[in-house]
Amino acid sequence: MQTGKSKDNSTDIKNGIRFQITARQYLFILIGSATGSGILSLPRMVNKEIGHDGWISVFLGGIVPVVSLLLIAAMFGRFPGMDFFEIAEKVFGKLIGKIFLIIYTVYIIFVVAASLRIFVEITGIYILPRTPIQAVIISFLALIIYSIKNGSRLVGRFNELAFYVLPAILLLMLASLTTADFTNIMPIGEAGILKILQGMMISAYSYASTEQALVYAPMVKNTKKVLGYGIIAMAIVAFMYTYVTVICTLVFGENAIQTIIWPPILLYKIVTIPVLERLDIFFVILWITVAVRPSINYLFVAAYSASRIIKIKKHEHFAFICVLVAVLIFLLDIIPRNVEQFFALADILGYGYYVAGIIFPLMFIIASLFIRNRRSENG
Amino acid sequence: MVKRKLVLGFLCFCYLIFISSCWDSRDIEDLTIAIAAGYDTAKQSGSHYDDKENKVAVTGVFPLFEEEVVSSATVATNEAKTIAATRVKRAYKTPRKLLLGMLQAAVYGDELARKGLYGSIEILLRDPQVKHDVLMALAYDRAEDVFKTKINNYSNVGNYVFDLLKNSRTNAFIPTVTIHAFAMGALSDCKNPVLPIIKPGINSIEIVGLGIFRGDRLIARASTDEARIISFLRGEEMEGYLPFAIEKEGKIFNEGSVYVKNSRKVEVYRKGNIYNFNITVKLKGDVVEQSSQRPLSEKGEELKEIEKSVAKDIKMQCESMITKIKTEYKVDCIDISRFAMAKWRKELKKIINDEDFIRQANINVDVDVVISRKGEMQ
Repeated sequence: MQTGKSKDNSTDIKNGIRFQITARQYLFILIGSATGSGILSLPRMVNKEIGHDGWISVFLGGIVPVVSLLLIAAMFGRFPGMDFFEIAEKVFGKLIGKIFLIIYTVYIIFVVAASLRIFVEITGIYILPRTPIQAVIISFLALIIYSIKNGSRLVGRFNELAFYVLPAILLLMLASLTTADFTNIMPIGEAGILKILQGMMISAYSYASTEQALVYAPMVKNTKKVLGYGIIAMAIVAFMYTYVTVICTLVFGENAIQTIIWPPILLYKIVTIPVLERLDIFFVILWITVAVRPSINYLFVAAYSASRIIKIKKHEHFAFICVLVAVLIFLLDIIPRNVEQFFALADILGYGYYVAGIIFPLMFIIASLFIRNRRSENG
Repeated sequence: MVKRKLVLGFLCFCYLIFISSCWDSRDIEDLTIAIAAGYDTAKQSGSHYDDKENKVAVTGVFPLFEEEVVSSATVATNEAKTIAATRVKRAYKTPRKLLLGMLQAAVYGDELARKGLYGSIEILLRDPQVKHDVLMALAYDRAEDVFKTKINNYSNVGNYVFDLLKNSRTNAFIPTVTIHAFAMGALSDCKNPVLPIIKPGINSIEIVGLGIFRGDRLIARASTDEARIISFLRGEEMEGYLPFAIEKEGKIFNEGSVYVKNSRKVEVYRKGNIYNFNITVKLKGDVVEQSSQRPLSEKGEELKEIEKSVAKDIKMQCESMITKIKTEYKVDCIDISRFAMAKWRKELKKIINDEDFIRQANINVDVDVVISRKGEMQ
C-alpha cells in the first residue's frame, strides 16, 4: 500500500514529466512553429520586395533565428537551472520582471490569434467556404486545448508525428515543376547585396519560432543538446523555405507571383497527376495537420507563461488556464473584419519577433553582466 | 476518467456540428455541373433595367446524369454586364446550384479576345473551386457557336472540346494551353501566350490554327501549318507527323512521313545594342512510311537523306516565320525574349515588350533532325 507521502512524490514526478520534452521533440517543436501559414505567403512577400532573387534572402534569413538561439542559449548559460520566468524576476526584480513577462505573453497571444485566423481562413476558402469562421475557430481551439492541456510532452509528440507529413507535401510540390521556367530565377544575384540583406530581415519574420525557446528550452531533459538541435531545426526550416520559394519563383515568375495570395497552394492546382485528380485537395488535407502546429505550440507557450505569471499551480489548473487563453484568442480572432487586417497584424508581429527573440535575451544578458559586476564590486 | 470522457464527448459533438459540413453540405442531385464554358461579347442589350449594359455572354455546357434523358448535356447562354452577373441570369432559369469544380475547358470568342482576356479568366483564377489546368481555346468566331454544334457519337460537346484540346499536342503540334499558362504569359514581362483556334463544322469541331497574343490581347491568327512552325520555335515539347520528300535529279525519289518529337535550344548574346538569338530546333523520331522500295540500310545513308530533307524544309519554314514575326506580328510569339531577360533583366525590363526589340533582334535558326528506323520493315 502506498503512503500519502510516496503518492504525492509519484504525482510530482508524473507532473514533472508532463512539462519535460526531449531534445528531438524540441527540434520538432521549433520546426513545427516555423512551418505554418507563413510559408504560404513568404514567396509572394520576398518576390514583391526583392524580385526573383528573393530566395537568396529567404535562405540568408535563416541566420537571424540562429542568432536568436545563440543569445537564448547564452542567457540560460548565465543562469544554470533557472527558467525564463525565474531569470526575469531575478534580473529585473519582481515588478519590472513581470512587466517583461506580460509583454512576452501578450505578444505570444497575438501570434496565436494571427496564425490561427490565417489558418482558419485558408481552411475556410478551400474546404469549408460556407461554415461560419467562428465555428471553425471553436473547433480548432477545442482540438488545441485538448492537445496542450496535458503539458509540453504531448505537444512535442504531436509535432514529431506531424513533421513526417511534410516530406509528402514537399514531394507533391515537385509535380508543378513541369510548368517551371528556369529563366524566371535568373540572373542570380542581380538585386544586389544591399537589397538581398534588406529582404533577409523581412524573410526572417517567417522564421519566428525561436522566441518560444525561452519557454521550451528549459523543459528539455538534456540541456547540452538544446543549442545544437535548435540550429539543426532552423537549418531544416531554411531548406524548406528556400525550396518552396525557389519552386514558386520558377513556376510563377516575379510578376505573376505578386498577384497570388498563397502561391504554394496554387502549385497543386496547376497540374493533374493521374489517379490523384485534385492535388490541391490532398494538399489541404495534409497541410491542416502541419499548419495547426504553430497554433498548438504558441498557445501552449501563452498558457504556460500566463500560469507562471499569476503563479498558480500549473499541474493542477493548467487546463483551466488553457481554456481562458483560448477564449481570449477566440475573441481576438473574431474582431477583425477580414484576413487583410490579420496580414497587417502579422507584419507588426514580425517586429515583435525581433523584440522577443533577440532584444529580450540580449537585454537579459547585458543586465546580468551588471548584476555580476555589482556583486563582484560589493564582494 | 468520467471527466476525460466528457471532454472527448464534447469535442466529438463540436466536430460533428461544425466540421461535418452542416453549412457546406451539398446534395449532388441539387447541383448543375459545368464542364465547359464559352465566353463572348454580348450580342445585344436587353430590355430590362439590369440588361441594358450587357457586355458578356457566357455559354455553359452542363452534362445530364438522369437516365431517361436523350440529350447528354444542356447548353445555355446568358448575357449580362459581368461574368458573375450571367450566373444570376442562369439562376433565374434553372433550379439547381452551379458547380464549377469540374470545369475542363474554356473557349473565348474572337471579339472578346481582341479586347483582352485577362478580365475574363480572372474569375476562374480567383475561384478556389476551379483548377488552374482548365484548357483554353479561341473560337474562330463566337464561343457560343462552338458549344451549340451538334456532335455525333460523343458523350457531349464539352467533353469533345476538352479531348480535342488535350490531345492536340500529341497529334498535331498544336499546344495545349491551360488557364495557368495563359495567365503566366499575360502577366509576365516578356512572354506572350498563344491559343489554339477551334471552329465549328457540320457535326464536328476542328482546330484551324493558332491565336497570337500580345499580353492578353489577340493580335493575329496563324494557320495550322504556321502553328506547327511557331510551336517548333517556341520549343513546347509536342509530337506529330511530318512529311518528307527527297528529290534526285529533279524527280521525287522517295517521299513519306516521320513521327517526331520536338524540343529547342536558345542561345543569346549581344553585340552593341543588337540582341542575337540562335535557336536550334531539335526533332527526333522515326520513319513511319516511305514510297521507295529501297530498304533503309543499317549504315543509315537513306536515313541521313531523310534527316537532311526534313531539316531543310523546316529551316526554310522557320526563317519565313521569323520574317513574318518581325514584320507582321511584331511580337515575340516564339518565347525567346525570356532568355535575354535571364541575362539582362534589369536593363531590358522596360523595353522588352516594345515592338522594336523583336524587330531589331537578329534571330538565326538551325534545325537538327535525328531519325531512326523502327517498326517491322527494313
